[in-house]
Amino acid sequence: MIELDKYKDKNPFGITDDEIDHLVNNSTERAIEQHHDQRPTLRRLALWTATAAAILGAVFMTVRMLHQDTEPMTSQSKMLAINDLDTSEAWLAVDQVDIEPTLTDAKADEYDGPAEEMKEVDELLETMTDDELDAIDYFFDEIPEY
Amino acid sequence: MTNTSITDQQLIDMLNNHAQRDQGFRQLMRQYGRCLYWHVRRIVIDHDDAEDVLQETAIKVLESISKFKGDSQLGTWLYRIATNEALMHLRRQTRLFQSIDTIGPELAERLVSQPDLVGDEAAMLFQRAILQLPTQQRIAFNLRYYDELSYEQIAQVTGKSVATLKSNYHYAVKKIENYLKEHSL
Repeated sequence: MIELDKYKDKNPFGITDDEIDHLVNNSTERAIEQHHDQRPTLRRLALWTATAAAILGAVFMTVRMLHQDTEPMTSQSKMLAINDLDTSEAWLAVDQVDIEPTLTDAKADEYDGPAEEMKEVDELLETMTDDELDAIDYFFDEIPEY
Repeated sequence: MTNTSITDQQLIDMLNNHAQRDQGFRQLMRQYGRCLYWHVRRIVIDHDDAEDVLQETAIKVLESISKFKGDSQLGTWLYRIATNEALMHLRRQTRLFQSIDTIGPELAERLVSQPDLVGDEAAMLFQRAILQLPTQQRIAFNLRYYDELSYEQIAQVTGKSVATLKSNYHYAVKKIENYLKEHSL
């Protein structure tokens, strides 16, 4: 068993306590100096960060607004837009836009144009003679693509 | 740890007081500076490297003193920062993809080439014996043997468990004794 304690107080490095104190003092003062120098830098950094955040926020809001303007119209918004037009303009608009009413689309219920047309057709058929109806059947039979 | 002229709590109060921060930091370094220098020097060996690491440690302490919550002793907190800075310094000197433990032989060479070396042959051999230890064992051994910290305090410094540190110290002592025996002392 080797006694290790006898090595504890042996300092092979030669440096004295006074030299260490001097070195520590220099490190202390440099650290304080650097810390003071950093304070304005930190303030500037905070200012830059706030400015950058404000600019990014403004850009984000602008892009968001532009995006909203170019968003595809819902069928409800299409119908509302069409309702604001004259009848002739409305039908032109209907031709141009693809209206796909959905079950959740309350406005779709107000769109009864096709039902009105079918009612008129039914009334017309009721007034037709049998010969006229046969002629119509013949027409559809002979031209299958209809 | 060193004898303190004011208590750790008084130091912390001064450091957290904006008007007294610089004064408190000077006092802190007066009380702990030597211990930190020796702790760092035993890890990096070279005097100039130790000076650099001590400088980085001082800056880090001043920057982060406001975050010190008092969960550990002020001394162990300082040792922890110094240890981390010293290990980072060694890692920068270690080749890419190599373990930090591979730097031991290089540190032993630096030990011999130190211009201020004055120790006798036995003291030199003892230092070489310490340098052949893996880094974590070496730090645990130094903190226990030279700084006489308790295992609980070393655990706070290194972040290792007390059981691991006891094992590290035990194996470190065995390895050092074997090294000294092999070299006829």
